[in-house]
Amino acid sequence: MTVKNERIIDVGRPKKISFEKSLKFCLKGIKHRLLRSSLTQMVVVMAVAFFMVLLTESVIQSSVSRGVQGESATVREPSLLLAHLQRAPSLSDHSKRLADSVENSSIQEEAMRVTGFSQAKIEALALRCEAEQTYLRFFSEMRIGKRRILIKKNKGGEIFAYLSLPTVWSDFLSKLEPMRSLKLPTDEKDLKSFLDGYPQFQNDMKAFSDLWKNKVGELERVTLGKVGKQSLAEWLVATTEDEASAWRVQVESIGFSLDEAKLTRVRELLKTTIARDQIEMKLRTTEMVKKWRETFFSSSPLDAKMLRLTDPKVVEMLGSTYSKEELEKVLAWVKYERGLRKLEKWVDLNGESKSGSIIGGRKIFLALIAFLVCVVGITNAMLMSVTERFMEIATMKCLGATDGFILKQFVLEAGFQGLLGGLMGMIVGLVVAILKNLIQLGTPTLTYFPTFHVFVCAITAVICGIVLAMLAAIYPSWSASRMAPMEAMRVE
Amino acid sequence: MPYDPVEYAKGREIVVRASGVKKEYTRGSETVHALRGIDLEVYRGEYICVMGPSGSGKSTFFNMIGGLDTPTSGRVFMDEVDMAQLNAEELAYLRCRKIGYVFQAYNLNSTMRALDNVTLPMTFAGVHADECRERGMKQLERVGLSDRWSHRPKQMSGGQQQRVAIARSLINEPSILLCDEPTANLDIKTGKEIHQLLYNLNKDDGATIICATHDYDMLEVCDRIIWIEDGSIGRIELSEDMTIEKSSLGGEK
Repeated sequence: MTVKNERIIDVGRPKKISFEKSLKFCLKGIKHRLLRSSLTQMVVVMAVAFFMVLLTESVIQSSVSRGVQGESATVREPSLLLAHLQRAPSLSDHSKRLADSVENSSIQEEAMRVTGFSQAKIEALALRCEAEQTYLRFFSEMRIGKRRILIKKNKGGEIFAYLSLPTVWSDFLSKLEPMRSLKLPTDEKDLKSFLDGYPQFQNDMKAFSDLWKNKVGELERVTLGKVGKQSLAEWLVATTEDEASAWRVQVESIGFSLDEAKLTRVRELLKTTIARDQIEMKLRTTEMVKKWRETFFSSSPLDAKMLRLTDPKVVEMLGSTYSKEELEKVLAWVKYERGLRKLEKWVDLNGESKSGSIIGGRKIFLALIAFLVCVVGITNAMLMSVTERFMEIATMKCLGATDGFILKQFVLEAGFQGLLGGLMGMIVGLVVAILKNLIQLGTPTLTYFPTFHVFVCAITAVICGIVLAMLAAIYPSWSASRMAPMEAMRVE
Repeated sequence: MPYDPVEYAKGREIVVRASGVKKEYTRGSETVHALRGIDLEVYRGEYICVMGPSGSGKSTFFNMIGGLDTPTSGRVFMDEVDMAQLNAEELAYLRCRKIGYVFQAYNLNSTMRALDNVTLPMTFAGVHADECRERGMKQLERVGLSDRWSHRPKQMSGGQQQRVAIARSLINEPSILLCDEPTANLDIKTGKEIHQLLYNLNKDDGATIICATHDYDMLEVCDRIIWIEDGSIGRIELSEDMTIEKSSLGGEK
C-alpha cells in the first residue's frame, strides 16, 4: 500500500451500481436457491393459473357467444326475411327497428325507399325511437315498487302520455329525487323535450307505419300473382332461377332490400328445411310408423329416427322420393341445428353482460382472494429466507453494499420468481381453460378461438404474477435492507 | 521499556481516535454499562491487539472502531471525521473502501468461488470485471491461494477460507484492517500461519491492523496490546515488553 501525504481516510459516496449489474448479481445467486424457492413459485403458479383461467374462459365464452349468435342469425335468415316481406310490423316493432337503425344504416336506407321519407326525416325519427326505447328500458328495468310510485300502472307508450300531464311532471321529478339508486338515462331537460314532442312523434310513426303497410300490401298482391296456392317458401324452392330473380327485382322496386346473394342463400336454406319438414311429416304418419317398426323391429321417437336418414332401408322406405345427397344434406342440417340449439341455450344462460365487462364482479372477488393468498405466501417465504440469510446480508453490508442494493436484490429475486411462476401458471391456466371450454362447448371453442384476446390475457396474467411477487417482497426486502452489519459479527 | 503514550505517539499519524466512548444498554429499569468511557488513539501502520475476557466490552469497543455501532456518548473519529455524523451511504462507502473486515467465521459466500468472494467488494466499488479478476488473482497470490481460485468455500479448509477472507478484506486497499478473532476457529498451526500472514501485511505493506482476539500467539506479531477490563481500558502494553511462555502440544513446533 502506498503512503499518501493527504488525509488517510476520506469519506465519499458509494458508486451507484447499474441495474444490469444488480440483476446479474441477483441471478447468479438465485441459481442455488431455485429448488428451495420452488414452494414460493408454486403459490404464484396457482394464483396466476386461477386468474388466467378466469380471464381466458370469459374471453373464449364471449367470442363463442358472438359466433353462435352470428350462426343463429344465418339460420334464421329465411324465416326473418319471409316475415319481413309478408307481415306489417306493429308500431312498437317499428320503433325498435328504427332505434337499432341508428347504428345500421342499411335499415334506414330500406325505410327511405319503402316509405318515401327523406333521409333527414328518417334519421330524426330514428333518434327519437332510440330515445323512446332507452326510456322504456329504464322504466321496465326498475323495481316494481318504485315504478308504481313514479308512473302508476302505465305501460309502454301510455307512460309518456301520463308523464306529459302538467301536474304529473313536477310530481314525477320530486318523487324521483330521493331515489338515489335510480338515475335517468338522460338529462331531465332531454326527457321533457321528448315528452313535449311525443304527440308529433306518434303522428310521424303512424304515418310511417301506414306507408309501410301499404307497401307490404302491394308486395302481397304481386307475390300472390306468381305464387298462387303455394306458400311463398315452397314457391321459392320449387321455382326456377329466372322466375325467382324476376320476383326479386319486383320486390326491390317496391322498396324492400333483397340482393341476389341473399336470395340464393335463402333459397338454399329453404330447400333443406322444407325437405326436412316434409320428411318429418311423412315419418309421423301411421303408415310410416308401422313400416318402421316392421323394418327395424323397434320404435323410437322422431328425433332419433331423423338421425338414421342415410340408412339405405330408410331411403327405400321413403319411396325414393329423395336422393341420397339430399338426405345427407338434411341429416347434416338436422345435426347442425341441434348442436346450435344447445349452444344457443347455453349462451342464453351464461349470456354476455350488456355492460361489456370482461369478468363479472364475483369472479373478480375470487381472483382478488387468490392474489391475497399468493401475496401472503410469498411474504412469509421471503421473510424466512431473509432470516436465514442474515449473515450473508450483514456481511455484504460490511463489505460496502448500500441498503438500496440489498433491497433491490430481494425485490429482483422476487420479481424473477414471479416471472417464472407467472409463465408456468399462465400455461397451466391456458390449458385448463381451453380444456374446460372444449368439454362444455365442444368444437366452437376452436372455431371461434379469440387468439389476440387470449394473448392479451396471457400477458396480463404474467405481469400480474410479477407485480404480485414484487409487491409481496416489499416488506421482507425492506426489513433485510435495514439489517445492521453488526449482525455479521455474531457467532452462532 | 514500559509503554509511554507520548513517546510512542511521536512521528505517527492518528488513524482512529476514540474519545470518551461510552455505551449503555437499558432494559427497562436496568442499565448495562458495556463501555465506561474509553480514550484511545490508533496510529497509522500499527498492529494492535485488543484483548480481554468475555463480557468485558471488547467486542462492543471493536464494533465502535469499525463503525458498526455508535456510542451512547463520546465520539469516534476516523481520520478526524466523526463516524456518528455519517449517513448510511457514507458509511457504506467507508466500509467498502477504507475498512477491511475479517470475521471469526470467515463469512464467505458459499455459493461463489474463491475469486468471486475476493472480488465482491470491488463490485460494490463499481470496478470493471476485468480489473476485478486481475486484482483478485493478485490478492489470492499474496495469501498463497492462487491455485484455488475456482474452488468453493466448502472445498477448502478453515485456514484457507480465512486466507480468502483476508484477501477479500484487502482487495480495495483499505486503510484499516479490522479482524474479529480471526484464528478462533482454527487450529494452532494454521493460526500461526495466519498470524504470520498478518504480520507480513503489516510490515511489508504498512497496513494498519486492529485485532480483537483471545489468542496469545498473536502477541508476538503485534505492536501494542490493549487490555479491556469491565468496560474500560485496563492497561496498554508494548509487545516487546511481554514475555510469553508457552509449551508445545505434542508434536507441534
